[in-house]
Amino acid sequence: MMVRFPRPAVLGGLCALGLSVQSLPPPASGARSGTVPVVPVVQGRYLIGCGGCHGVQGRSGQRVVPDLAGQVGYFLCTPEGREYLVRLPNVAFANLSSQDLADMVNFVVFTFGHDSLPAGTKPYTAAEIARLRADPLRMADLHLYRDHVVRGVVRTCPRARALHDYDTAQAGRESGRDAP
Amino acid sequence: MVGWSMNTAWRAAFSAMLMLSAGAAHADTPVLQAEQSDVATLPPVAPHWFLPATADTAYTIYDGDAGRILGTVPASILGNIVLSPDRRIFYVADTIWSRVDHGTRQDLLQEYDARTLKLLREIDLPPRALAVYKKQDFDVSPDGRWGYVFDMSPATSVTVIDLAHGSVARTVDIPGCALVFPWKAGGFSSLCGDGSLTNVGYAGGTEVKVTHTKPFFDANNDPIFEQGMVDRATGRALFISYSGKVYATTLGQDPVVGTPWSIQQAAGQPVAGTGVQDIAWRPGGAQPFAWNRASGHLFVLMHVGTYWTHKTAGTEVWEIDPAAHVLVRRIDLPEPARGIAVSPDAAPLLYSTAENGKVATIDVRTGTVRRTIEAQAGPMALVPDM
Repeated sequence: MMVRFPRPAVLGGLCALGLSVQSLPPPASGARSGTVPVVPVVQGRYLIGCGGCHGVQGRSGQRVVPDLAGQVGYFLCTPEGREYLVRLPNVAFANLSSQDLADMVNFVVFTFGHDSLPAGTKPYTAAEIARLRADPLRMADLHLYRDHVVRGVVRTCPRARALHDYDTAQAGRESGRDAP
Repeated sequence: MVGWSMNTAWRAAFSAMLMLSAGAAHADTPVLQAEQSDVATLPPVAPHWFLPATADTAYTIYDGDAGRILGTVPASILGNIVLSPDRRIFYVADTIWSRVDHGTRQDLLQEYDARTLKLLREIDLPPRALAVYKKQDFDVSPDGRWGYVFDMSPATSVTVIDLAHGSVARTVDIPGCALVFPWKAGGFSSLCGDGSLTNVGYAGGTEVKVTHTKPFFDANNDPIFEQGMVDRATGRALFISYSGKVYATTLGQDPVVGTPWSIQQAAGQPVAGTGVQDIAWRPGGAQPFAWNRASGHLFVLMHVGTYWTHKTAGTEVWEIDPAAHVLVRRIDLPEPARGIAVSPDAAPLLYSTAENGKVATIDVRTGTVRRTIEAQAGPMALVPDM
């Protein structure tokens, strides 16, 4: 009696585990290995290199770290904005080949930035990435340059106005007017 | 029965003791001395002072010779400390919240008089959204004029503080780069993610001059430690890679980076590789390096491990002559250490902080442990001048 008693409890536990795994939303690619969700390689590279600050789903609160979800695509409204995304040093210096970096940037832009992307946007190619990352942005007033790029973007795509929220918050912090 | 008789004996002895002391009190009533409170002044900062970060609440000033606490400089778990080059002021760059762990965030630079520990001034800083306590997060120019505070918001920048006027002079973005290594005069350098240095020349006003070296180390396959050492008096720096390669560098607007050499080779050991199964002596810890100004010798916390064990506590300290690329001596530690510091003088003390917060003070010339202090210390400690 004493030995057999725990068995139903163990089975119940396994059932609960099985149910909870099935109730998880499927991963973006739908890839599965047994019951363990598999993160596709490209998404994994995003999580390791960018997701810590920009958020697992590209949502980071905008004021301290720019949101990618619903926003990042706006940058592709202008050639300067398109170049800006890759010339940011933390993108340009990524420990990835230009082809792998192109795949990751395209994942970010097309998946997270989907609603903000101008119609007919072409994906980045490895050759384009190689050219842009060779010329990283290294100015002592990078935030001022971002502000300039965003102004150009908003002139072309007025819907992109919210991109300025980050610049405004950053300038406020810098001048001591605003706590983060 | 045995327990009973022992208890009885103990009670008897105790009663006898009480009677004895009562008798003594009758004979000569002691006069209770009233304590006189005063304000003490410390002697000038001495070479054998060291200030470990203690109990996440302060930097505690120790006299390393006597093993005695001299005073306390308050600092939060995020606070970084620098002693001014003239040894007259302790600067603490800190981040605090109005309700301790939440509320209004305040970033500030505090100035304490090194003799009285009186808080002289507080300078408000722009928010540094992410801050940790690390020597290389904060420094002061050798002439004492400028403070350099590294910010990671997570965009990286350096706030330059005019210490003469007690105000922020300007913030310099250092995209893709991090930390602060001051030059002998006129600016600072930072380490970059592409294996280069960015060099920021600043002499007041709004103008900065920014240059970059060519990449000289492999940031992906053999990165250099964040905890590189710089001697402010000369502007010379020693950057050391995870595999133990030393890049001696003279910092400035156009830094000169020397040909890298191997710590292990200097010690007559095999050069450490970067393979996952490559067992070798390797530098490691949270503050694995110290530099003695009098001899110019480099001290490195070493352990045996594979590549990517760069945070492992060290079991030995190797004293290396970086000019001649030779090992001077190996010092066995009483227990594995996460951080080291070395006094700047010609009769140096080595401070080795174990994972349990104990600090061993070791006479470098003999390798003998003078004493062990229960300091509740973190791995980073300040010593004068370096």
